[in-house]
Amino acid sequence: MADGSRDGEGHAARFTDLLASTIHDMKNSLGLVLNGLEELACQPAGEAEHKTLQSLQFEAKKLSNQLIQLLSFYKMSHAGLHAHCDEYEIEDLLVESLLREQPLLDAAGLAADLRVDGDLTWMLDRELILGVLGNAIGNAARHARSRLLLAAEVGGRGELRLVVQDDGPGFPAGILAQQGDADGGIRFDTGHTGLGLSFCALIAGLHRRQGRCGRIELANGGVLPGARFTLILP
Amino acid sequence: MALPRKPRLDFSDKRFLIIDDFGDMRSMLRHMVESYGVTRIDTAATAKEALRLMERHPYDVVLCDYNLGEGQDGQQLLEEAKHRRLIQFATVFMMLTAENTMQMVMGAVEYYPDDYLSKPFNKHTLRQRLEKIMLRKQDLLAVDKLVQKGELEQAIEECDRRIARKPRNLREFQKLKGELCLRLGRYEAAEMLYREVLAERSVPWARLGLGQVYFHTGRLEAARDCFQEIVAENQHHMEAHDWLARTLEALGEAEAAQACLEQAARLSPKAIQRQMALGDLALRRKDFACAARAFKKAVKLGEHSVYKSPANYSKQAQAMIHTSGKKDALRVLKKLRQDFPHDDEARLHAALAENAVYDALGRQDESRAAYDEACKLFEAHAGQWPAELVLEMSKTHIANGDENRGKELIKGLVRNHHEDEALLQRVQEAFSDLGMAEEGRALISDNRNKVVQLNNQGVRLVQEGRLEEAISLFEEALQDLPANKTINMNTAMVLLKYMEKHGRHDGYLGQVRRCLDMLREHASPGSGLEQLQERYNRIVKSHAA
Repeated sequence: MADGSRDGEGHAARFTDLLASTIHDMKNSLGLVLNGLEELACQPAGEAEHKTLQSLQFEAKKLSNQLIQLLSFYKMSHAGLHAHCDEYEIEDLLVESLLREQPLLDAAGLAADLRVDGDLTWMLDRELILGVLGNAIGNAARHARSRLLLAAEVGGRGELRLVVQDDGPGFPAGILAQQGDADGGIRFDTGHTGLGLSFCALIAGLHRRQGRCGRIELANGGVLPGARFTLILP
Repeated sequence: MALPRKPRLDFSDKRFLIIDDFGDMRSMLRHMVESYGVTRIDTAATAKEALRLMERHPYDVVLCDYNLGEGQDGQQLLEEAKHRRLIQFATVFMMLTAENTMQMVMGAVEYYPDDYLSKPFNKHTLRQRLEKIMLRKQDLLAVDKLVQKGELEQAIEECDRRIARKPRNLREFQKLKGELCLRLGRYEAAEMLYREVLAERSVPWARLGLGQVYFHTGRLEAARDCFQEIVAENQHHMEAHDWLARTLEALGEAEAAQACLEQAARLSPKAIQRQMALGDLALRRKDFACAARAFKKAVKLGEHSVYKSPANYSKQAQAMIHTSGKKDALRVLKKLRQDFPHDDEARLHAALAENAVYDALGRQDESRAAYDEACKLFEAHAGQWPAELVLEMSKTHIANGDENRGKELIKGLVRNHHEDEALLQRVQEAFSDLGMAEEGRALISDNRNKVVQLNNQGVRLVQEGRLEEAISLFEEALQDLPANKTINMNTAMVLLKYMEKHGRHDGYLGQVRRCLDMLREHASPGSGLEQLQERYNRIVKSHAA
């Protein structure tokens, strides 16, 4: 991407390459900010400082997730974004997705539980799915009162269901109302990009097997009373 | 947070190397690693610095940013470190990347890092990934030791033992076993394994493996379909592209093969070996514009690569003779001489190409001078040149009017490589280009037959149990045909057979070792080399006790 001298593609290509490499730079800087914030969060501090720091961490993390989404959208519109599936252990995947958000969870004093069979493996694009889970966990952590739950199970149709739940107030009715057209896809074309749900639905949809597509489902309640985000992979 | 994790690995005795051109990144990584209790941490800002450090100490873990600014990038650093054996099997090499599709578009398969971690990440995720790799390596260590010793049969047996226990990392052992079976040419076993895995799940490595089985067992259409399916699903699967191109070429669809490689090269513009393969194919197809472009890129990429090679310059120049840039071709060759000072192989490449370029420019004196230089260099190291250069030299002899010398060289080439179909085809093409197609065919078949007959005679002696006679026949043949794989293989085989019967013989052991060394350098997988190596090892071991 740093190679701006490609033959014959002209200014437009160079401009979008520049755009992408700028986003990469922003992402790297933000990575430094996040790690710095995490170190600060480990220092003793007063209640007010702690609150401020926590909200900084939330916002920086959100920004970082959004930059990753932006890059995905960029790729999708230029080179085409594809799921490069390989077989991964689901426990590793879920643990990593929690560890990525651990500074946030620690700062907010949230507990997270994991329910997954250690032998479960699945075909998926690790980076893309980690992006989706990061989003879901970020949303859950923002609204949870005290705990989150991550669970994985193989559903009746032989599909993998990855569930992120919290004990917060749940999804607003407006968001729940947007889902559920005929093919089970979700359209979040109005407003709620902040939750990254369109991104999640899109990534899920890139996962295909034997004519079936991945998707997401939103609901409230379950093991925990709050929002329940489910990523379903064929 | 309650996570059901295995006991954590202790990192405190590990030695880490951190490579990043960005100071803030280096210190952030250092902080992370220190938080694991690690005390021995070195950092480097450039690949050069990193290699110097690796020469001094072995590292347990190398964290390397892909993008290192000027000079080598992370992939090229990894290639050089592995090439120079600065990295052991137990070393964890983690590539830190800006994006996730990187892994597919980088270098050669034998030079993959252990894992890729895309930025941003925190200390917890980095640690989890490192632990995962270390545990995997611990598990595979026993098998790897056998592989390193060349005891591939035993390595497969060890894989089988592990697979039977159905461990959590079953796939690792299945994958490894598949690779070993392919290397040993055990295609039936490989096919069974891959089918078994695929019945359960359509993992890309098993599909790629099955495609290779098809390829090696002559089921080319099935191989093509298999590789095409992988590529259709994941256009970034570079190995599948390479295999598809190879298969298409074997099917006689050279144009499609080139298109396939061109696409792969576009997707992985920094993979030098793919540019070289594309250039070679384009040269064979006389698509000189494409060849010139590909070799130009290979020369450029070679600047910081262990794959830097004089052949890329001379082939670029050869291709340019046919496109517009004859003068530019001379500049390329001048640069070749500058970039490889005091290197006779590079000088021979340059002289051979200059001879052709000057001739095309009508500058006969300079062309002649280049020819004379080439002859002198060639004679100075006669018998040591790679086949490709011998063929170039022969063609140059013939083009300069010394037909006999050219043909003599080619006879030797054919007899030393009488089973190398690809090379023989290129010899034939060379004759056809010179308008001597018929003569070429006759020369190739005569000389090939001579070797086949000689070899058959030796094999018959072995079968009749006349080992001493067979030994003297093969040893004599080897004098004449030092680079012939079949003759080397059979010489080693008959000497081993003799020693297995009559006991160790130091002179014979030395000869077997020389044959095996030669074969290791040139033989293709599945040729039986591994079995010979094991028989050799057994003789050495049994008598050392």
